[in-house]
Amino acid sequence: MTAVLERTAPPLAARGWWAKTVAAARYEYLMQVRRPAVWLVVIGLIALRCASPFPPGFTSTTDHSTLVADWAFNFIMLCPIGVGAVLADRVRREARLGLDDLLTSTPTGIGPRLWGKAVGAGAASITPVAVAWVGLLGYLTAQRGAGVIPVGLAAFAAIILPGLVFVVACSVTVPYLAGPVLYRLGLFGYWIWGNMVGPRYGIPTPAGTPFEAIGEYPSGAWFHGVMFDAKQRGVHPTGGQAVLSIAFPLLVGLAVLVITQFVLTKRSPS
Amino acid sequence: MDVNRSIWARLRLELRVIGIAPPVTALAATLGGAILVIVMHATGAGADQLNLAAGAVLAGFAPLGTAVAASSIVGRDSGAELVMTTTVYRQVLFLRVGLVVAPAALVTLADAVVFRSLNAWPAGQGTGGYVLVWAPPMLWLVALAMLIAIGLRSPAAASGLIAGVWLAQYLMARDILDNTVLRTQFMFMGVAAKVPAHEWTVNRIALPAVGVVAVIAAGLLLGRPERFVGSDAA
Repeated sequence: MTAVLERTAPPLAARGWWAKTVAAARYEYLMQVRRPAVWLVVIGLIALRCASPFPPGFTSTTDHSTLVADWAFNFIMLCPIGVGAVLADRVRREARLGLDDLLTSTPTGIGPRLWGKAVGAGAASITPVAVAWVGLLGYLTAQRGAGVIPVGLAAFAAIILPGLVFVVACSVTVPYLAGPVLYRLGLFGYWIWGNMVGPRYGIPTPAGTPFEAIGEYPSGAWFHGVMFDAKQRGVHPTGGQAVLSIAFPLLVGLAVLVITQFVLTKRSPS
Repeated sequence: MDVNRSIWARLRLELRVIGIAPPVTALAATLGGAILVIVMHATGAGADQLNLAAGAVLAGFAPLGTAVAASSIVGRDSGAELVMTTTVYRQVLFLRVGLVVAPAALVTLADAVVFRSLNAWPAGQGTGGYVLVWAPPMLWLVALAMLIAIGLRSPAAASGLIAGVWLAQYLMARDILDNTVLRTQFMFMGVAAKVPAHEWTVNRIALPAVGVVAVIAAGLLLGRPERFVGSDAA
């Protein structure tokens, strides 16, 4: 009996920030990854774009780098919209269910809950993308040999992941201000304007510059992948520009999360 | 007189239930697009760019914003059980959709009038374009968004998939136009793609026809409203 009552782990209040964040992230991950909408939307959008891959004919190239980079470009074109859409309603979920007061009374503070949501729910929303990418690499490996695997993993990390992390960070913070409905429309507008409306339209846009989130610069600089808006600007990206193009969305995402934590902490009654 | 008062009271009540976000989102797309076109006109943008922007707002952004906003009202009833015991839920939901779509449609019509007066107008569109440029895509997109939202009980899935379909139509326009069936469901016909008049007519009829089928399917799904009771978004 005594053994049963003995604590095997310290109470949550006594644990550190990191342990609380990991616990929150684990729960958010499991909650999000089990939603059918997450898989349906993200896989659906990837399948929609890959049904007619761009640029035409790239699948017959013999260069592994170009092949995986162009597939990565097809993945990143549509799926961030789906990732953002399924994440946006996580932000006010606790308030909608009337759980805010209960959560505020627990020793887990605002910081661990926010970062746990970002890491856990974000990772869960990216999971279908990773699963689809692994499936594609398996198919390409069967066709071209195991040499595709390291290039494929590098392309995922350099082309697909930074944009998705940026969208995740915005999707678990901006809806606090805008609400999920307006945010989804805003995200869609941003994704087109900031990544696909090139200079030819005459509208000022980051598309085709290192400050876009679609991974064109790493694709062109390191993998000889397709260039679209950057090509219209006459840019041949360097390694430094590619690093900047990866660092920018990651740093903006980090800044958005830190600012949101600061604002929520200031507004908290406890 | 009492009847009128009760109708207004009902509409006010439903507006309070759906909240400010859906109507604002629907209007934001069409009004924001109008402001963009007016600013482009004022800053001396070229005729081709103006025509393209006007067409994109009317046939693209206004329908998308309205569809995302309309689908967001699904599953918002914390007291859905109570509503179902006193009224037909299908009627309630369609009324709320109407409250989101109707103002957006009126503002988009006003956009069309303003764009035409500014000579920012999709090439080849006559007077019928005041309605035919935007109304068929809007009905099509709203109906599909509602069908997905009701079928999956998930506004998130509806807005994500609808936005993806919209963007896929933009990115894969050539592939869609090369397919005889998909061509009838191309939203940007007459705006991003110039086609013979009879193909344009078929497209303008086929879009709302599919939209009506989607509305009927959504109505049938709402015949079992208990699916919406006591569940978090899927």
